Amino acid sequence: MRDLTLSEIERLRSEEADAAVPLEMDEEAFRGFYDRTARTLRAYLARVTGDGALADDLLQESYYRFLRARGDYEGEAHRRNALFRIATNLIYDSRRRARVAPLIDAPAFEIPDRRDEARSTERSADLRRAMARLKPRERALLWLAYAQGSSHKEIAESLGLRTGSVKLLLFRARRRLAALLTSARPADQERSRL
Amino acid sequence: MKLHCPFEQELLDAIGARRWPDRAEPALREHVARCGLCADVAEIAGAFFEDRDCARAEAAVPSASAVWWRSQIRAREEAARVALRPLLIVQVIATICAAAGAIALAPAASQGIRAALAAIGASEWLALPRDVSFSWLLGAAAYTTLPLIAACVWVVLAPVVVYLALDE
Repeated sequence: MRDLTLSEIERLRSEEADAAVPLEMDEEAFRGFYDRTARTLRAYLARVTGDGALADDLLQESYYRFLRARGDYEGEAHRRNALFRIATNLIYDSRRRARVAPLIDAPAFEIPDRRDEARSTERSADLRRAMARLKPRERALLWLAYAQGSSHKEIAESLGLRTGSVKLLLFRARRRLAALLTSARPADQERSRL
Repeated sequence: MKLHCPFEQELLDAIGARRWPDRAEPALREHVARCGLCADVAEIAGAFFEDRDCARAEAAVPSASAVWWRSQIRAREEAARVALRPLLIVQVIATICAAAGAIALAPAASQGIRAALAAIGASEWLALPRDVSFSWLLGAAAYTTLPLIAACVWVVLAPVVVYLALDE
């Protein structure tokens, strides 16, 4: 995703007076909201899709749709959950599209190789490999619950699920992931010994 | 089947504060050793905490201004598209009417063209009669040239109209 140049921003500023399109919030409020949520949302998108470039595209698209949605939000948390709900739906849509046209843009899950592990810890590299083997909804559930510390109610709002189902789905996803991590560990230990 | 353990939050707090496992309460450690659910949580939660920090550090997000302006541009484009929709519908209807008119007038036009070709073929048309008059010239032009011009204009304009109508 290309960043705007300064001259482009200036040109757009001058055009703003011509035709301002009403969006969900004004620019100042958006800046604050974006600064509080963008990194968290980008991390969520990157880990659930497993594709950094796709995560960048979905980030922009999520904020655009959020701004156009003109929802009636009760507060910051509600607004944030709505943003994550939009992002989650976009992940599912992109997955459906990739399934329809797999030859064009089926995103491969970015599994870190040994060089990347120098940057991230070995444990988080193991986690990413294990996450790659889960379904997107399981990845989303686990990320929201354990990386973001969201409550079951917040997870339900973000993923469009019933609060009652979150407990069971999270239990199953956690079990699968724990099993994958446990089974991956002896192989890694074997490698490090060699 | 137990889906949730009351110790889970305490365990998450200990992991979040990096007290797990060495500096955690002995009671909590004992519980995790016995509870399969908490053992799973302990297994994955620490990895998620670390990976979250990595993911946030790696995340290079565009500036809020860039995202705001891109959204403005798209919103404007979308608004323009919506505003142009009735025009598009009118264009499509006009194209259909024009095509229907052309089909309806085709037999009459072909008769005119045939007559024009016959007149061109006849030598008396090329060699002007002695008693040539203005009305004769007008009649000949109307009979031969105008249908040809109309046909040429239609051949040129039809693709343009179709292009404009289907531009969206």
